[in-house]
Amino acid sequence: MTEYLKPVDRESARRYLDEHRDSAKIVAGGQSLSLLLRQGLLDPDVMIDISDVDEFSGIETGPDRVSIGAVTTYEQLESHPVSSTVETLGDSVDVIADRQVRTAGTIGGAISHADPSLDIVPPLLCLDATVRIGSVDGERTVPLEEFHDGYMAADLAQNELVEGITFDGSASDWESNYAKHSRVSGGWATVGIASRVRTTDDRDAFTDVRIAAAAVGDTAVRLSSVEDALIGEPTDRETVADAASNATADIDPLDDLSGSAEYKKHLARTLVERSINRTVDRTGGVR
Amino acid sequence: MSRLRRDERTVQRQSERVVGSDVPKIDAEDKVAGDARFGSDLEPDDVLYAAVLYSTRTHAEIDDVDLSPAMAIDGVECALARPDFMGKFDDRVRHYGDVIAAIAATGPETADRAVNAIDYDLTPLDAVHDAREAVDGDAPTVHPNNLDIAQHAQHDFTIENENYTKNIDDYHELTVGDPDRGFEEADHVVTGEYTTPRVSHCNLDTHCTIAEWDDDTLVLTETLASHGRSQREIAGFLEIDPERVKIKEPPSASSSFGGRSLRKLTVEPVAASLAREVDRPVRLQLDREREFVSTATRHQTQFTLETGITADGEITAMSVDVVTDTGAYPNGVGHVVLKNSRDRPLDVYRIPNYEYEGVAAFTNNVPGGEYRAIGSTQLTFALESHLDEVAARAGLDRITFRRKNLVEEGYVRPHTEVPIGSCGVDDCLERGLRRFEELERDETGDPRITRGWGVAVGAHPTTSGATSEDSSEAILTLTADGTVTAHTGAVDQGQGIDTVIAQIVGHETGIPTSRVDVEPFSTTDRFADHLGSIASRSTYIIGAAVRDAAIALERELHDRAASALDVSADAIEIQDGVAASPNGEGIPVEQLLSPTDGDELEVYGSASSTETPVSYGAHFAAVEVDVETGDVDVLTFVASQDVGHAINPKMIEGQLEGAIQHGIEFALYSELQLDRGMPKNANLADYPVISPKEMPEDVACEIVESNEQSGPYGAKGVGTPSMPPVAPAIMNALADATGNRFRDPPIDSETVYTELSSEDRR
Repeated sequence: MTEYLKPVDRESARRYLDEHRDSAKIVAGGQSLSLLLRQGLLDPDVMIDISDVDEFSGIETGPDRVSIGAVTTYEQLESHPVSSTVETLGDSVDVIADRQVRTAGTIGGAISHADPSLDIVPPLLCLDATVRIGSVDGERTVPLEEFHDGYMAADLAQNELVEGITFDGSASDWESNYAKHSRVSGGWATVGIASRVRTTDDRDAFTDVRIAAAAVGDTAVRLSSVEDALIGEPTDRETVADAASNATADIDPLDDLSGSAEYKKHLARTLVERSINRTVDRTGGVR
Repeated sequence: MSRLRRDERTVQRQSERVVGSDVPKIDAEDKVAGDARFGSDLEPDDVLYAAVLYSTRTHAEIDDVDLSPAMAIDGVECALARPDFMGKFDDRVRHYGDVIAAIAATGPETADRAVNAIDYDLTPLDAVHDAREAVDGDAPTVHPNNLDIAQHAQHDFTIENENYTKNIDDYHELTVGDPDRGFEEADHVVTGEYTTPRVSHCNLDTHCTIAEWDDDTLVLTETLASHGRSQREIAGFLEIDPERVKIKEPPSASSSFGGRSLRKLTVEPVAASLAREVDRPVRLQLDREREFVSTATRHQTQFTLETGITADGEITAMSVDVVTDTGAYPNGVGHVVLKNSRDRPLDVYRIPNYEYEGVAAFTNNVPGGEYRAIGSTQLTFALESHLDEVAARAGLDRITFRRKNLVEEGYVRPHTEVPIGSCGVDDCLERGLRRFEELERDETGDPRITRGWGVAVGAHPTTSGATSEDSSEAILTLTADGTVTAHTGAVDQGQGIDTVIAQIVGHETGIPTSRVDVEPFSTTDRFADHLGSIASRSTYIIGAAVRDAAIALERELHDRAASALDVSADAIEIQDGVAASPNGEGIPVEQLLSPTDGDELEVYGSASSTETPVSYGAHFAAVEVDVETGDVDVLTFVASQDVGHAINPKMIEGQLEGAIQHGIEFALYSELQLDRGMPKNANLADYPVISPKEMPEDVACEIVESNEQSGPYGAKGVGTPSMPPVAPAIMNALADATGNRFRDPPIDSETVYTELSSEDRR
């Protein structure tokens, strides 16, 4: 029989996990976990449900930091103003699964699950987000880009859990987008691309570019080859198309049910181009 | 007994707008509010929960099953291995998801745990996973030819084709005229090969039965739309008297689309065996993976079509060759796939010379089964794709070519002496095209987008045609509170038959439809209906029986009111449940009950028909293809459908829109993928099911009324017949948009992109 624990504060959550370590699984929203349990791929002795822990809940916006608690649901993120100010987040949450999953699924659960196809990760990579990790020993932070360190693998010790994620949300001169291809709407991403750019005042050249991709390898990744090809360059469509063709340099997709590796590489180039163009369009620049 | 003529009464009653009006579905409010109780909501107090050990091998002998570790678990009341089940179970598993052993326990988790504790040994056997390979003499034997495990009415066959020697579930051939001469006379002869996917019904509510034994009678509580056949087949398999199987429908029936037409070997016989052993009710519910692999899918089918036409587009000959995959058990009526593929071309087109050969083969795949317009959907996809190719080869307009060859009312099909009755197919084409043209869009001007349109014609009969005469009965009971209770053979799986029944009762009697209660069917009811709600027969034949009873009730009430009010029966009008005389004197119908009735007045009605009227449709689709991704978006869909007479136009629109959804899935999305019989996507995360987002932005339904003389008010079936033309209309639009013919649906974005970007095209 599985023991089901439901701590109500951070200290007891950390303590339970420390007691049970790798015989325990953390339940945040249960949307990925319950599939694994049902398929018999996981059979933990202890489940620690952190959804009632107040310290892990909600979205805080400070002057320069946005902090999202681990058990914040997609739905809560969707209805929060940050989803409008940082459009790549809103775009991404809009295309995640269905309303039922968005109502229960959590940001912390997704990040911990580390599936490379999850739509929420590329936008957070473009925001240079930092993962807040807790244990009985206290808190440490790791850049999200380093946190996912292999296929469905995360930089977490046996007594550590994700407590939240933080990014700089102050800059209003960024525009962003998330473009996704999936077999059916709300389905797993065949490929997902987030882009976030800043342009010169007259909007005709890129000053900062961040591009990240889901479902193209062991982990979601930043596409630095595309980023490097655009910084300082004009925002016209031809330049964007040329840069997008570099997308395959940073990815290593596999053949699976959602498509062949070759098709995913092609989609990555196409979606990078589309996502950047949409982002540039959002800057209101004349092209 | 009513022989069903559209008579004076109909015309007179039309003014009251009950039959022919958009009466809201009587069960909608309960379902939307979550108050409806489906089979899986039922958990009787003393019920035990079943869990089943399913095979992960596709073909194996069961050597040994050690149930003792399972029995040692507290709460386990019974454990049985397959060889010890009742009936015709043997010691072999034949597909992934087949049954090895089963547990009954006091709780579902205990039962699951006990299943995991069972020790067993299987010896793998050679397996075959392709229907064409299965019929070859060297193939492993899944079953002997024409296996009889009391599942469906098979017929004797002799096979002259020496390539078809093994694993034969069923075989059909037909020759009409002189096909060789017909092909010789042709100016163009075109051949094409097509395949169709294994599609799962994906019913929201997974299969669930509660089996209990009342002495020697097995009582099953679950949705089984074809209850009479299910009774016979369950009894046959369990080797008991069919009278000893009773089926009770839950308060609300679960959806079917064919998925609940018939029993499943993995469900009812397993639950019955456990219940017999423990002498308590046993509840067996499948989870989603089992729903995919342990029930049935649409038969995977391979077609080779050849057609000869003259230069001006007249069909001179056609040949249809079909190989269909029955899967591991004849769960699934391979016979019907073959029969429907055989007859459909002749139901739609005038084909003077025709040859047909079809074989249904046992394989070690998930069984095939009933699914909305079984056989017709597969054949129509192949035929209508093929006819577009034929028209293109001869340089003919797609619509003109079809119209030149369509059947019409009174036409005698060459393989049957029965002339075609009501036939609205030409009206469907004309009205559908007009509506489609109204919905035409402006070009986008976007070079990344290419568009195309397609048309397809299709047909499917009302009633199954399995017997020479179809019949049904109905009992209406007026009670002292003024309500009428209807007992019929119908099962409302969402198609709305209960509402149609209430409409017919209200229409004929003048009692408001809101005061008509339609009771769930139970085989303990006192009348016979062998087939239930399948094959689009509910409105046609059950509706006719209800109408017969309602007319009898109305006459009785008129007579009684006439006596009470001292006027002639002809002078009585019943409205809103009040019988009134011309001078304005009125009496509520419930006050017409007499002391001799007891508390209620019961009338009986029946109907029969020897016809199997064909319902026609002509559907139009416009698609848009994103050439950079291969994504296909169905922009517009017009379903123009001959329904005979529309008893409830809004519900017909619901049927048509549902057919469009199923057809889009068949064409572009849904397939249970098997790799040598092992499922690759037996879950709803990986198996694509579409949502409203994939539905066309513009959906239009054109309802054509051809007045079927044998149907109540002129009505014939709509649920199944609306399905076949959908997928080919989309596939023809895709061919028009891309210049490439896709013959093996479902066609995903990658397939389209790969084709559009292939070297040959550049």
